[in-house]
Amino acid sequence: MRSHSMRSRRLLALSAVVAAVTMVMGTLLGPHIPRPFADRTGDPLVAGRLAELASDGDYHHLSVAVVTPEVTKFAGLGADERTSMEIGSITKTMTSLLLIQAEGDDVLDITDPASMYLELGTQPFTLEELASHRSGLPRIESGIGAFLQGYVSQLRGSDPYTGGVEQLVSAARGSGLSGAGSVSYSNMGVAVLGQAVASARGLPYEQVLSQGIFEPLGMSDSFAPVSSSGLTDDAPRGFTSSGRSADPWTGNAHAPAGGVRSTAADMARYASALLTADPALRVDPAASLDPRYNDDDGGSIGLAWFIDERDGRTITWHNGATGGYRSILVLDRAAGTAVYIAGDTANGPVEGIAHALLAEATRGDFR
Amino acid sequence: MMWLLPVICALLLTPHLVAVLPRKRASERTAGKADRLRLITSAFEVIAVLVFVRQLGTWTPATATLWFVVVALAATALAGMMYRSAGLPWITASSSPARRILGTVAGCLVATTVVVVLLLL
Repeated sequence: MRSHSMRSRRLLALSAVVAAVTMVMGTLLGPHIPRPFADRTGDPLVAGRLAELASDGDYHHLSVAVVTPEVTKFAGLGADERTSMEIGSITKTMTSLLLIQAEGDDVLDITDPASMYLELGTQPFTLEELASHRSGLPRIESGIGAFLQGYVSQLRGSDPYTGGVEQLVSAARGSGLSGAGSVSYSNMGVAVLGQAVASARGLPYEQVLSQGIFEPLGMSDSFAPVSSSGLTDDAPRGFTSSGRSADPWTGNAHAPAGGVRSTAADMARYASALLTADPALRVDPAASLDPRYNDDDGGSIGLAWFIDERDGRTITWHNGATGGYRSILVLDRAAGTAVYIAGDTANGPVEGIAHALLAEATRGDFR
Repeated sequence: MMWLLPVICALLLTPHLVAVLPRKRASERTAGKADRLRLITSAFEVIAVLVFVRQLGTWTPATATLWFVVVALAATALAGMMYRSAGLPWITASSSPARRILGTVAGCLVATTVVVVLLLL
């Protein structure tokens, strides 16, 4: 009887040990939950406001640039204006700028069919239709193979865009067109556009980008790595929505749609050049920024840029999202103000913060 | 949506909480359906579910509590398995030992594969 009771007690104690070990291991090996960094950098006023706006979100590092006609201010949480981050789809605005630069250099006409520059068979869409998301191409490559690849990439937190230019062109050539003429966001379309511009120039996309935008504007910390070989092993990585470290998104042939890494300092320079039609751009960026077509959301689209009315002001913007980063560049062209913000968490939306900071900058709160 | 995966995993763990239900525990012994090999397979399953939700869930400060709920369920299940094991045979009399051993090895291998693949992602 006594030995049974002792055995039972020993069993209970063992079970309690198993439970305790599981709890301890679960706590130690639990998910990494990014939290906003308390370390503020840059302008105290902007940094303070950034900290307030980011207080209830899923952020880790944030870097912001506020551009006004008088001054450019930087701020960050755990990051500063030199922190390199993936700008994602803001890259598309650079690709559209390369398009109008190429037209300015008489290398192409934006109304040319893209098939003049790439082996796209009988696909009828023009370069301008690609830049304004009106080509009818799908958002991403269609087909079961591409679907599975995207799914596996999502699980692995890796770059879903691994194909080369030939693969991209082949997919675009064989792709059905749906809703051509109306605005339907297409990563594939802008990737094809960037490769068409590169082909027209006879240079790789990353070189066209560097020569057309980064070098003239002195954006020395900006580049399109294109593939993982274009990055060092210690290149910064963001965090997936599971809190895991995300693989860098370099885009390969899709680099024109989202493959640039940059800093707040460089993006402020880019924004400033767009707002002031900087001669270093060699073309008037208005050709890219001005609205051309209405979209289904009550706004309009230029060449890659979206244009919305917000609190009585016309806001020109593009955002970006990769496996581990979120970003946005918003411009109030009439006021000459802009805000760029990037963060290294995939589920840390930055749009609301950017719009709030832009409204405050335009109001003169950061003078 | 970010609540979905932890909730599904909590539901997957619930059937392993037999130990906290004395009647169920007793009927399990009487029916002769459970044995220690089944408990071992179940323990591997519990660990696989934990790793699955840890690696693929969307974890934010708001959902962090759910992680600890899932871990507490897993801890209860594993402790319960340890407790239940004392009253159970290694292999139920009604089963073919070779089949049960093979089944256990296969089950544990599948769970281990899931864990390894998810941890290597």
